[in-house]
Amino acid sequence: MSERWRLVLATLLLAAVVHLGVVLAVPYVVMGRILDVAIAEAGGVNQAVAAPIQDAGERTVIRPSPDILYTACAYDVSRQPLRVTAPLPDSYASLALFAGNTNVTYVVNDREVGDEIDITLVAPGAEATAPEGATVIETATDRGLVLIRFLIEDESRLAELDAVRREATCEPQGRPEP
Amino acid sequence: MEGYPLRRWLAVVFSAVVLGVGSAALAIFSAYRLSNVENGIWRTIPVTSSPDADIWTRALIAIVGVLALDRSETVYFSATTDGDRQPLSSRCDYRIEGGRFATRWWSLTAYGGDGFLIPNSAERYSFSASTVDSGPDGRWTVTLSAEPQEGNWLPTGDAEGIDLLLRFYNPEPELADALGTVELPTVTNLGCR
Repeated sequence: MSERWRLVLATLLLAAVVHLGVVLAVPYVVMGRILDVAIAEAGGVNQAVAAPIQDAGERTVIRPSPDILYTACAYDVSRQPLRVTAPLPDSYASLALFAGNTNVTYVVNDREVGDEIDITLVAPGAEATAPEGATVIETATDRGLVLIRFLIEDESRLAELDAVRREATCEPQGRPEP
Repeated sequence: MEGYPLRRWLAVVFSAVVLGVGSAALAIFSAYRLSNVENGIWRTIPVTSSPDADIWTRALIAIVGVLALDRSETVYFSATTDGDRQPLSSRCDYRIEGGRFATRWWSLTAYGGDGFLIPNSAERYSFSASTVDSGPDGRWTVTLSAEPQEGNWLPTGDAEGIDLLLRFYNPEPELADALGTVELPTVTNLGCR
């Protein structure tokens, strides 16, 4: 093979590697940015934060809904389980878990659970570390996002809804593994 | 390796990076056209977290729909053109007409071309099943315009490019299983400045 062809081939192969690397990295980079924001706003991992109502001034996550109150916590279950609780209003509410690559790995809404959501997140394979009686949800990745949505169905009851959603908590369980 | 000058290998690496990143961007945006479902002016990407979404679709969804719920919970439709396939603009006024939907709740939200809510004096960004003024048959009209309007007015401010997003929470199977054919709102251009 001539030298020219060898260089062309090397370029193409390297380009393919770069292409794959970029495409595979995108979801992790996007999620990483969001987790950084959630951690900064909450003051740490495994802590719930009530996001401000979304309006034209909010430019953190693309296409937020102005009709939803969001509560989030960046989870890290690598060292201990995380219990997530949220009392529910009488309007639509849902909880979703997002893995480190943005995939939705679990969703539950108010019609499926009743008065409150109470789940305990564990890392893959770490089911046994959860407290007895807990509703255990295995995450897909050690780090990710819990996002709870509370729909503003009645604007006149916004303050009431806001008070309910601020009662959502994320609490690490047990003692952290070293 | 005998004597390949460094310059040549730097050229290889540089070309590879440009080619690799450029082709990645192209492939990701092509995934959009290949995987979306069209319904008139509206399009939706069946958001899926299942392993059989290819890596380009997953990269795309991470960019344009991060934190979107998957189809079991919410269905999203987006429109950036009017009924005549002209790009939506804050220089024009539009009449959006719709009715009831087979879903627990729905909303229609206007975003600017940058993907964020549009600053406006009324601080209104959306209409929903709870807030839209509709007739006894459930039919409603929303006027999309930069200028204040009577009735349901959805402001477009100074937005460069407008993206309308329809959200359906807990859609019935007759909606969720018929994304390409379910009746969705129409958008009619009323005139431009």
